[in-house]
Amino acid sequence: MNIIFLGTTGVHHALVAANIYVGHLKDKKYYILKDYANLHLELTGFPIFIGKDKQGNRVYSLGAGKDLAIAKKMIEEFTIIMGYSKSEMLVKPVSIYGEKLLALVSTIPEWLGGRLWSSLLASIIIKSQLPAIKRDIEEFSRKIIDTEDTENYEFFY
Amino acid sequence: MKIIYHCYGGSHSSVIAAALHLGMLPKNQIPTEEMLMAIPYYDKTSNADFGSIRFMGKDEFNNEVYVLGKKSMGERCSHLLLGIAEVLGCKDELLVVNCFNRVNLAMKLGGFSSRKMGLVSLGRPILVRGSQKAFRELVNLVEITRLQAMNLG
Repeated sequence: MNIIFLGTTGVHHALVAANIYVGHLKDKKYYILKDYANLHLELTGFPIFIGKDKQGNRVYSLGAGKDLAIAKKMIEEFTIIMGYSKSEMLVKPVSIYGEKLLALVSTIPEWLGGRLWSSLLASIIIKSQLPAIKRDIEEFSRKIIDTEDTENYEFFY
Repeated sequence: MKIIYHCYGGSHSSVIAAALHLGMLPKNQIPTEEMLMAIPYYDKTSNADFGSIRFMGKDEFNNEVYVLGKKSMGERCSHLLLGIAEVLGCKDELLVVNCFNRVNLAMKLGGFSSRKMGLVSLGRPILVRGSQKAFRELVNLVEITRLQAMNLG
């Protein structure tokens, strides 16, 4: 199965959440994670491969802009259209306070100091939201383990 | 192959493009209001349809043609779908076409009035005029897409 952590950007909170999920982030140093705040990567719009979880699922983070619910619906319908089952693509939205502002700031061009503003804002927002992200992911991990036992993925949709 | 035409609401430009692709509209004649309204989904969608990938039909090469309303996702929508296709391992079976850059001001204003504000009697005539004005542009886009599909298919 593939698990997509979907955020307004794919290189901030969604990336942190995905790394917590696969066990790459044991302490609070989210800012040293691979590809964190990499705006070049964000601009490509492609899912960022984070690693594999304990069950062997492939884990990605992805930025979708401000319309998360629409992006989630789009990905789920697209998976079915392409001939795959819903359970092969699990989309986990990651929402935090200030996420839309983060997405907006990430679009500021580099010559206007986009990278600086984005890093500054991201560090303020994510630092304060890290405990909430961790709680959300712990709960999600428990659901994944329970679901793996029963193979009832309907719970997530 | 799957071909997905997308625009803001999945109700106007993408639907006309898909209809042209499938031969539901003649390419050499500016469509009348009746012809446009006869196309499935044309100016008939609601907010609930954002993000829905709707099947329009199969072309003569057995390609499946879909339409999608992506709201304000812009070009990110194409990247997102191609990225997911890559994750699934089926990127070669997909063509994603952004129609929004072929949309004129009249289509935007008419579409907004008709769909978002619910002012159909006010918005639709403006929308139809806009659609007729953008028609050649959309024909061009579809021709390019069909050539791409032939090369990829």
